[in-house]
Amino acid sequence: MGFKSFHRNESRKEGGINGEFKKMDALDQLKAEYTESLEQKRCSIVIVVNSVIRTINEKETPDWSTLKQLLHKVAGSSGTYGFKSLSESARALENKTDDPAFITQNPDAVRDALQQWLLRFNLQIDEIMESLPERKVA
Amino acid sequence: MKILLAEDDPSIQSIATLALTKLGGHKIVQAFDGIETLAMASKEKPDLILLDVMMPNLNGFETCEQLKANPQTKNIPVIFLSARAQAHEIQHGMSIGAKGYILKPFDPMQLHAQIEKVLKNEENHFPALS
Repeated sequence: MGFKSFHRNESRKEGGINGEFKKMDALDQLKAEYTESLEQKRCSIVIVVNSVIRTINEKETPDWSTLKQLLHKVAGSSGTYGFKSLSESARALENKTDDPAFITQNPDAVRDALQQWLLRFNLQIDEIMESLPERKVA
Repeated sequence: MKILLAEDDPSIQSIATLALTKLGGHKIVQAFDGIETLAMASKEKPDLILLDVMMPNLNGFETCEQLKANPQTKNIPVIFLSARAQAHEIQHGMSIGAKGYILKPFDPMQLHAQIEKVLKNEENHFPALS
């Protein structure tokens, strides 16, 4: 195979910069920009998940399609930029937004599942952000 | 090779464009929704169209159907670059004339090689990066 993998030597911690990646400054720069953009993506998802939870609390039908679209984009892009766990996490909830067994179950269970997911998602983004060099505490 | 990259997510546009220009030596023209893809395909006459499925205005499947119905664009190979990963969706994509299916997330360093394999009929389906 003539091409080296972008992700093969990713450091154990997500967001780490591997040796092969360093060889391509432009890719390095793109990954840094994408990583910075995760804060904005986090805000959007938190707002929409909280809106879904609020709607469930009000016993109305949540807007699953907006959440699904956001998760779909994060799942595809984060994995491509090497953030595998984040991608899998977004994909898992995206798949649930399509699953009648999930969205029509007891509202308390849906709300609990969303809150748990949000907690994990926030931790994953925090970990990625902590890996950014400028954010490291000396 | 001139490649029309139809994708509404700018972060995927950026990394795929960089990988295909730097590693593959291709020229990339970009479209961000289905309608723009149809216009760019007629105008630019690309050698290949990389087509996302979940796009605004006209989704990738609808776009592919219209490309294949147009004498000007029907012979341009289409490869879906998509996260729509269920088997029936992949089958549908192939049944409406796509030549291959590359699933997101993908490894940008492998993208050029995967496209080559699809165009050489060596492989037509690449699973998502795992």
